[in-house]
Amino acid sequence: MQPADIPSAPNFKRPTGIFNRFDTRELVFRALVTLAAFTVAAILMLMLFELTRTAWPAISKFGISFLWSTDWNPPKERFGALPFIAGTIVTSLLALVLGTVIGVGAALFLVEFAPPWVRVPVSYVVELLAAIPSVVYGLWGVFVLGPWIQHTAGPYILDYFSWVPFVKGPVLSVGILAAVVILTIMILPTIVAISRDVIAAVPRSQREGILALGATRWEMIRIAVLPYARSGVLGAAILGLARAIGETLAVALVIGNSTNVPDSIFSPAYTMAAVIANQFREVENPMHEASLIYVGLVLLLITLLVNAIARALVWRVTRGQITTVIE
Amino acid sequence: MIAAPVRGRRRRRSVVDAIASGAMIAAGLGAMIPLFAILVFILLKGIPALNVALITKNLAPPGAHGGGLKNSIVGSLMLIGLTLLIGLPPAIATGVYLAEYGRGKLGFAIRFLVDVLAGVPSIVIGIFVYSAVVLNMGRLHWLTGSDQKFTAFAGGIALALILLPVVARVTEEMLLLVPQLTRESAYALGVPKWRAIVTIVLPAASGGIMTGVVLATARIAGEAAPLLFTALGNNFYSTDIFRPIDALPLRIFIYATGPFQEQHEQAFAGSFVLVMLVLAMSVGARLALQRRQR
Amino acid sequence: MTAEARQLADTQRLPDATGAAVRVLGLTAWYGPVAGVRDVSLDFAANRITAIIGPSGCGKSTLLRCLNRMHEVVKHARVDGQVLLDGRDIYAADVDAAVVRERVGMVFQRPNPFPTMSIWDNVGVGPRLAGAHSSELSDISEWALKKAGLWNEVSDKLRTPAIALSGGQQQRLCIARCIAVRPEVILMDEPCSALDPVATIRIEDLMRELAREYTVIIVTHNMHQAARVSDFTAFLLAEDGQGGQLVEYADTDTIFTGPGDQRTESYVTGRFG
Repeated sequence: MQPADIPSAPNFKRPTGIFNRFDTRELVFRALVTLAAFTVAAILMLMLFELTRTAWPAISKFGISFLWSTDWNPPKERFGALPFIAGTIVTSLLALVLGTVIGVGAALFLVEFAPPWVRVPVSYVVELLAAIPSVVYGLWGVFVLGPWIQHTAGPYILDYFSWVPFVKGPVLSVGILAAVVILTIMILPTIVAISRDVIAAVPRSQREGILALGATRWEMIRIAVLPYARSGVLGAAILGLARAIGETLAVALVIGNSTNVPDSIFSPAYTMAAVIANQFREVENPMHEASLIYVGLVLLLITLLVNAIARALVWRVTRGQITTVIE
Repeated sequence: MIAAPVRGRRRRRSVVDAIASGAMIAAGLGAMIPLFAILVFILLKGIPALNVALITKNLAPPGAHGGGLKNSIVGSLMLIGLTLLIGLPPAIATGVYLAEYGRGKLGFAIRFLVDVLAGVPSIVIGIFVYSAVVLNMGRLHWLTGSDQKFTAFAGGIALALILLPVVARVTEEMLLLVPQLTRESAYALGVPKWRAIVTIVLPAASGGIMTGVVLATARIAGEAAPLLFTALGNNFYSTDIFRPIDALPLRIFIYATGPFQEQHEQAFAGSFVLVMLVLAMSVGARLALQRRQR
Repeated sequence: MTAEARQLADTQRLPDATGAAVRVLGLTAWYGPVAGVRDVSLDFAANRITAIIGPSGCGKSTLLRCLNRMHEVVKHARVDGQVLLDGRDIYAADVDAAVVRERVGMVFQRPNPFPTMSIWDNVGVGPRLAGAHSSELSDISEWALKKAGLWNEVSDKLRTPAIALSGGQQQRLCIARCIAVRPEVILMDEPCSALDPVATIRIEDLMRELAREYTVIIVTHNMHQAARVSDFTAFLLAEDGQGGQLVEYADTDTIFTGPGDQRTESYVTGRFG
């Protein structure tokens, strides 16, 4: 029984919407966020449409043969993208191979050998590499890497390895080799970070199982760890490949800007991204511009394909758990 | 303890183990070398070229002496502001959708497309914005009052497109980290879902989202490719949204490919400033993230 | 070990048995600053099954893992004392841990076949590493699978993935994998705790069969299993956080019907643990 002198509690409840589907404010909010999400998703479609539209003059004139023609002659309005496609494929694949070998090796070092006081700083340092702007890589490439290749590494390679196909002079400070080195450095952080997580996730029972049979550490890695981590590492590598394909400024500064198909690791060349960056601001005629946009469209399609494959692989390993886009 | 032929095989396996271990250690330590090489380069070349004029003076005409990078630095700051203004609201809204409403098949499709957008090369985004925005600027003459095709506005849109998928996914992840219990406590008090999200869940995730935004900002601060044919760059000082605008990484690129020694010097100095800024943002954001996870 | 026990040990040995005797002297195993077992000494009889029992945290798994140098796989782990295999200390400075593990094999608590390999490849991985020729490999693998009692169930699907087998089958596969390397001692760390009762009985029968050729040392938290299966039993106890110590070691009958130590009696009659 309540004593009479307790004041009754103030009635603070304001009428709020009924918490079900028909609350107008809820509907508006939900509509807004849904619209935002759809729009963002639709941008991709818009991109494909818009690029096709603006590149149409070139698409209708050259058709598919654009992809294997090597004739790039702006004044005569003859355009073929093969040199750029070849340059992109060569530099990206070489960077992929180098980056994967070094990157997986580094990831194995971090997980299997490094004590915590080494692992944490080194992981940090490798991830910081990812934060450096592309143009700064390019600057380093022009002023440090290029001269080094021209005066030191290049002549050395020519002396001892000229029997290898595609190794011939002259050695310049620009070219395929310079671009490959820079691209490798740029995709290392991606590959190391993802591989490190995947390798660390291999269960202890797997490692102990093979050790108990008398295996050495390398045999344990070779037989129990790497096969288990296979899909994840592959996904990391392909993500690195996607990044290498789209890399623009760093490559543009060291690739040498030649519209010929390269025949040596020291030849100047071009990639799809670099040719757009370098030539777009000085187009000589509308067909030139349309052709460059056509190149951009091809670049977009290739990137989409590679990204889709990478995500499918990584998803299969992590079973759909969210993967961060930021490294 | 072991028979002779077995001993030989065992020794061979140990040798292989030692060689492989050496290779992996070399790879691990070698992966750090490029970072140090580049940082040392920036320090060695950049610091001597630093002087106050960088922030106080505008770009010198080609070949002339003196001058600074004021246009570029101010331009970069403006572009970042513009990008966040254009890109943050849709990005966070998309993140909210994905986390709170999009857990089904439709959400899966949208998430997939957002991830794919994240992988588009920045130069392709530049061409897209050139095609969709720059070429159509004439139509907006009534709004802009100028007939400039290349504008800071277009540059902001391009950078926002790069920012969008990154911030959207981070927002989603941070929102998902907020325990379901928090939401349910709000519902149990009679708070409608939209209000719970805005007043309780989002603030709870705000720290992590902020970190993600800082990291994404660090990334776009260093992007120049999408600006090549949208913001174009500007040799003169300008803060007009509807005019071309300069940006630090863009200016570095232009100066680095130019013939003038003095421009190269300024490119080094600019790189130093840019790298320090970007690293400070990245390291700061990561430290904040770790402190939060403790 | 009593004289009767030693006599018992010698009578039931198979003529070509390869089991070796393991002698532990003053073993203390550290995880960083904490001792898992402290100053343990005992002799494991060759070609016998010895069970190590005790409550949780008494260090039985730690002791077992010291016998094939798996203890040191964990970070900050350290061992003082000696473990003698056929008279030689496996912790001597010139001894390669991997070689020890070829002679002292281990079966783990949860079956851990390599998921990327077939049944056949799983059994053969040990001999292959040790240098068996491919012609020998097939004979060894078939022999191991038969010895583990798995051959009849898998002979028609040898190339299928090992993880498709049931839990009990996977554990027998792990046993086959272990003996394919021809060890002298087999260590088993609670090998049946992840299995159902039917599978457990099969593995216990297998243990008795294996003991005729190998020395078998098992860790079990199931006293009934220890009583059923083992010839000798060691009881470990960790008192006031000092690390597990050997309380009593005798033939299984004595431990379970008339133990000498009061603590042993309390444990086996279920008063604690």
